[in-house]
Amino acid sequence: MKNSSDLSSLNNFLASVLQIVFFIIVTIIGIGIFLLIIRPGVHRPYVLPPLQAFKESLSLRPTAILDLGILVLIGIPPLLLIITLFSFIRIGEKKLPLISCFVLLILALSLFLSGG
Amino acid sequence: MDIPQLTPLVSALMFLFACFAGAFGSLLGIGGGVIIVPILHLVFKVPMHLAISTSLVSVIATSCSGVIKYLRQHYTDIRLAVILETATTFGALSGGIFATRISPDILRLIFVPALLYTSFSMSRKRVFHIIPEADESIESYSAKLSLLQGYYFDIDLQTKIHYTVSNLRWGLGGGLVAGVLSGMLGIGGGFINMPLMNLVMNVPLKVAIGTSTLMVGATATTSAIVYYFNALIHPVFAGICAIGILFGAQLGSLIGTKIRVEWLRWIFVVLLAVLALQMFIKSVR
Repeated sequence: MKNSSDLSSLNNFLASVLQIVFFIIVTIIGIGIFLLIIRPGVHRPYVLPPLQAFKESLSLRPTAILDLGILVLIGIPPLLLIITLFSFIRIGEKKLPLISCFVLLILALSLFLSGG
Repeated sequence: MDIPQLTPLVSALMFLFACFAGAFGSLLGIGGGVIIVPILHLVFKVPMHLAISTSLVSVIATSCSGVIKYLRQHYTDIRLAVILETATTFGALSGGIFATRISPDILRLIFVPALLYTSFSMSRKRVFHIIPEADESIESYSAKLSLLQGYYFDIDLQTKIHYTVSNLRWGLGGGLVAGVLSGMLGIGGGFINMPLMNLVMNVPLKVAIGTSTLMVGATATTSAIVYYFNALIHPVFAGICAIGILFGAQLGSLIGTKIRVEWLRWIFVVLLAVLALQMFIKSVR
């Protein structure tokens, strides 16, 4: 059971990262819903690409702000995996970095196979 | 695709239903996805693919929010989660790609057994192992790999609990199935992962719950990406339901200690069976 204290600190670190990012996401989506209430209209039925969503959200378009919140939300699990991968490397694990890379590869594959 | 008009009243009702799904999902430990998909589809007439993607976004949100406390209490076995995610994410990728290429009628038909299974499993009390007994006779594949021996400090028992994960192959197989179902139906997959870890892989209950909560986020993300690139995520539905389910889940954990869950469980057994029947009728009509 080597590196158990390192894994404990990884737990704490991931929790802190999640808490901050999650607060940001809830705020973004909350703002989007608030703007949606005060500016009702016709809504685009799909989520924009990240850069376009960011640009449009600067002009306070409710749907673009919701897009941004959803895209950041979808980005959280890959972010946690990347942090985990580097933590495994740092604490000297041998097999787990490879396994983490494999999971990230599947996530990347989902981008390519679905036309990203 | 025929998308319903989102009036302020419809949006408010959708938010309330999402709160309801989040609260009761949290009270009954079934996750919101299995409730939100049929409600969005049957009540709000949201197309099946959009209902599934909306649920996937909500699953990611509840996973990220729920896992924070498990990480802080060290009830999350990150090594086990990463290993099982190889199977769940692969399953979710396959399930997501398959679901985006088949008709809503077939998806509805596939959803029926999932609803019936959840209804059936809720109708009987499953006995989980708070701390599974170590079985020394099992020549553990994972122990040979020396990857999956862990411990956690149980706050309730005030003691350090050591465990060794066994039957990793079963875990990977079950994870694959959970992933495929998650990608196809927009449900978290925790209803397979958690019992599998606890009852088959000898993972203590608290660690099984914490690890499963972490895993469903990565699993749902994989298929959510597939839906996103197929322009099948509706930002307004997804935003409203994600916030509603999160709010409801918080409410559920607050009132969970104050109400009797037993009668609620039976109401849901019936409700899920009725939803299954409606989904079936809509598919074959």
